[in-house]
Amino acid sequence: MGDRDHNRRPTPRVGREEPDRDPERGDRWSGWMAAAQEGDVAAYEALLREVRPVLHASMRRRLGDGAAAEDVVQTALLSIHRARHTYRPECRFEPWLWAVALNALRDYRRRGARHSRKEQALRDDSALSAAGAWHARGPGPSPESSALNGDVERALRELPPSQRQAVTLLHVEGLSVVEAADRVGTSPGAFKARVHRAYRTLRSVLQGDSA
Amino acid sequence: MSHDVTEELIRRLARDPRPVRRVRTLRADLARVAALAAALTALFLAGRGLRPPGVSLLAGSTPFLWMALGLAIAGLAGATAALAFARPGRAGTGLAAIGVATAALLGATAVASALLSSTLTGDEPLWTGAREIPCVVGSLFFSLPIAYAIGRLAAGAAPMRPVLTAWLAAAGASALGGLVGHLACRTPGAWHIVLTHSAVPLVGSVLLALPLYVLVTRRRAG
Repeated sequence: MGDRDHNRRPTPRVGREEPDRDPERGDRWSGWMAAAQEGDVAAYEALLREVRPVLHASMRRRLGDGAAAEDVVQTALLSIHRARHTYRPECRFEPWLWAVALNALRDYRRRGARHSRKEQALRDDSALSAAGAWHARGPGPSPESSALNGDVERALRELPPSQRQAVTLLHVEGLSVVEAADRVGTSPGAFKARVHRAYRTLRSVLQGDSA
Repeated sequence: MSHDVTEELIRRLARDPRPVRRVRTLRADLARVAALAAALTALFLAGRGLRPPGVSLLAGSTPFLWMALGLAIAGLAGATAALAFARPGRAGTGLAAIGVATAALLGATAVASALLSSTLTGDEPLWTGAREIPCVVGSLFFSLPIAYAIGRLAAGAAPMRPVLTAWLAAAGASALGGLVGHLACRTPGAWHIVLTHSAVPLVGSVLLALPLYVLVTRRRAG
């Protein structure tokens, strides 16, 4: 149970991921992270820039989806930032990095499993499609407005501005949760909560209309 | 667009130039936990003394000694596992520590039970009812400062699996608290020191896991 035994051992998973990797990369990253811990901005930025495509390639292979992979990479970069004090320079950097990245992937999958049914139902909902169309053309009247679109327009107008913006970013602009959260300057978790509040409000307004 | 957002994220993260204080090594944190447990044990034993008849319980291969060893190893290994899972890249150490803790507790209980079975006449009760409960409660009371210490140390790292970290911290702390209770226990009954004392980590891991989860997630970095 020594401090170095685990980190000094090569990690087969990493080797499988990148058979042609730069052999000096680990030492370089380790040095950059140690410098970043001391407050070296340039070293930190260089590290994050070099790590990013490696993480993205791995996540893309695992998820088979570039946008989802980018979401996980963004979460992993945030986790690297928050956990950077836990890296010790006498240990190898890559096991540390992959532990953080795979945790981000695990979180992504868990959140996905939890929310996918609800979000998918709402994404496929014709009302939300209509909401997208409404937002795409703006709130003004449209000659081809159907009764459904009218209901959706009204429901969207009843949303607080922050919730309306959240729905727009996700369903009209097509941003991922992490991107949209970054755009509005909040955390992905808080953004999701905002979106779900918006969904609830929309649903209750629309159900009230149909009742 | 997504790539642009990631670029912006990298720029933002890199603009945070604050130096960070590195987390202590796992060994250093474990040494702190062990020192706290040793201090608690020494203080309590100084005031109350060893379970009668005293040091003869520790002479030779006695059930009492085996249980003390089992609880001590299980406690330290549980704490190691909790602290390891709070450090990215140390999951292997954590899994090994879980194995050690489980083997220590089960092994000590098995050996102590075998020793008791070979020496007792067979009319000793396995469970003496409500008399067992104060011993468990007292042991869990001793677990509290140890649990708090492990929880704080884990939270100061990056517990990316907070449920597992909290549960392991609870189990490890209860085993160490159980060791304090075991050494000074006055509850009569030959089987008590084996069966009830070995149950303390199990009960503690259930009761203390939730407050430790709150402690760990309130401050977690990962």
